[in-house]
Amino acid sequence: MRFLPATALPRWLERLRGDGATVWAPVDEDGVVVLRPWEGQPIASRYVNPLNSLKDVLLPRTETILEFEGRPTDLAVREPAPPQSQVVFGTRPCDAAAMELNDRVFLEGTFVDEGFRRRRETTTVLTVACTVAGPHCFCRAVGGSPTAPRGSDLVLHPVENGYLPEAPTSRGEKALRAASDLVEDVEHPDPREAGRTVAMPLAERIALDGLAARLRDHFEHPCWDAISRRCHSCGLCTFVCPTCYCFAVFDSLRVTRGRRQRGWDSCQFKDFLLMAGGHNPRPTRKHRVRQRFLHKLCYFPEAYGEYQCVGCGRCVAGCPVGLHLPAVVDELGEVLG
Amino acid sequence: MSDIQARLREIARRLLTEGHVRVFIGFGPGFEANRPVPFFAADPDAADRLLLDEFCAAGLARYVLEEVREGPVGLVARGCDGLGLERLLADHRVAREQLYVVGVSCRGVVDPDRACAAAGEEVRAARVNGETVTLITPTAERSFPRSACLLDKCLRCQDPTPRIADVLLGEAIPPGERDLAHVDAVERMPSDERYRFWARQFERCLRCLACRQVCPACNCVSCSLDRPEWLERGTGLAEQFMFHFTRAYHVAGRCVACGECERACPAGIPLGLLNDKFMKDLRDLFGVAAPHRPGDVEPLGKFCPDDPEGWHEGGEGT
Repeated sequence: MRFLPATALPRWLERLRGDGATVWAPVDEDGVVVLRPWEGQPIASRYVNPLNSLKDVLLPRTETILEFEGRPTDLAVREPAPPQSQVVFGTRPCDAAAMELNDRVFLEGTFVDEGFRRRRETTTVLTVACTVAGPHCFCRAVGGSPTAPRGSDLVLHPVENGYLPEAPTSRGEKALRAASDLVEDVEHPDPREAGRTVAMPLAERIALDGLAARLRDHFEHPCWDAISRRCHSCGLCTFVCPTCYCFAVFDSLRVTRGRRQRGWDSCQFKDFLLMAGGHNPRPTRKHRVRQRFLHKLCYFPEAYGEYQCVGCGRCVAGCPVGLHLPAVVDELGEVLG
Repeated sequence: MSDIQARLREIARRLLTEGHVRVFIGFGPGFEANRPVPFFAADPDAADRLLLDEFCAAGLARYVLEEVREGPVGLVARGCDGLGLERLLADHRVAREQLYVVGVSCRGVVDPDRACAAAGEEVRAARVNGETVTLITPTAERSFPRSACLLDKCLRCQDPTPRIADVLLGEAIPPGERDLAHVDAVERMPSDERYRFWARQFERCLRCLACRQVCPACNCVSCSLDRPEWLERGTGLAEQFMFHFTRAYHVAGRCVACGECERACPAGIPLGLLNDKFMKDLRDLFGVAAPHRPGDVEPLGKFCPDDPEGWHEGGEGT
């Protein structure tokens, strides 16, 4: 089995950067661990998940779709330069799996989202498997595991003084080739097994069996009034969520030059569905909160056969009023049985 | 606090039974025992689920904005909630007769994550006594300094008791002087360094608007920050500065220092520090109290006919 010493990590990432790729890595910034373009700064080691997920890299907070210049009758339009290749180090298995869920939305079926596809195809995901679960983690309850390879190009299993790399894709194998002289051969039992024994108390409290059908049958259940009542209608849960992908398209204009951009939008904002003419199909918190959880727990499973949640725990850690997926599943379980 | 909790339930039950209020807002059990959540008791029996302990973190004032639409509202209020309610009253967003305020004195709220880090295991219960906090875990009961256990927003709070309670449970604790010394460090930074400091903070912003949505001073019916003619929707550094400075300016002189914005921020942006800087300037320039006492003069929110700079109707130029 191959072994990459921890001390070789910066040299390897430096080589990947030298190949012209933007390398992202988790760094500690004023006590908050954030995925940032890496330029040699110390890489954070003690974190469960960075503030921003892979979504920030593959579906940026804002990106330019096209640029335009001129007058309405004489307008030059040009596409932005294609995305540069990117390498993301230190993402967790849950975030990598989340990108496969987003793949299904953006890449499956008749319409392929070109912006997402191009970024996806030029991004290499170097996941670091988890050896502990945070208090908010519940990946196992939604089909994941602390060592699962889904969505990763390379999984680095942490062991003493280094990592055991596993390359599920040729992109991952290629990235590892840049470290061929740094990698050693060692004897080690299957590191994926370690994922089975990681304690994850929160996952054991979540029961999702049959929930999608029960939610479909109880669309008008009064419990949604009670559940949503404490929601402040901010977009925190949706923006920290690696699987929430909604965006808005908007223009910014400077006299005769402008850019059409797309950026994150949230179904929890009260004007999310507001239409020209003033009609709002989801005017209350009840409508919006119900939409968020039905999307994750009912509509997505009906369309794709799996829940739209990877158990990363960011909503659990972040929601200022405890209105997160495990809490809502728990409250639904009490009223719907 | 269990005696106070029992009296709180009794009062809420009576208010709901007699029809004085349509709903009573307090805290109820959360998904995790040490994270109670805002709870809305709509019938007398639900009053028995109200709880009040050292882990009740969320501010409650903001909820009355929605809840009073359907009728009078009762709620439990600590010092920060009380100032938040005063803010809404001073802004004429709710009327005093729509509220029944059950006041309690608060010595600080325990942050379960911080407490867990201090105690080394999950904290089941806590007692806040003066300068120390006793944390009770499954295996031990030990005391720690406040700074190792409490929410940031509580460490600088000097308003333990609400000023506008209809009934106060327990003893009143007099307000103190807010310590704004932590602003000095930012003021002393050379301007380049200070710019980099705030740029780094604001770059993390996801623009989830949690800071605005939990804020009792951000109670406008519609917000300029939602309007693209005031703020473009992008998240480049220019827009991030625009967002955060606009937010800070709009609450400057009105912020009651409840600290909910900073508690809610997922990106760890020190919004309290920014608010405190404005608070300090307003105190030093205009001699107003820090935090602002709603109802007192608002240096930035009110025009005086004898203002030495006069009033420029329509402004000058374009």
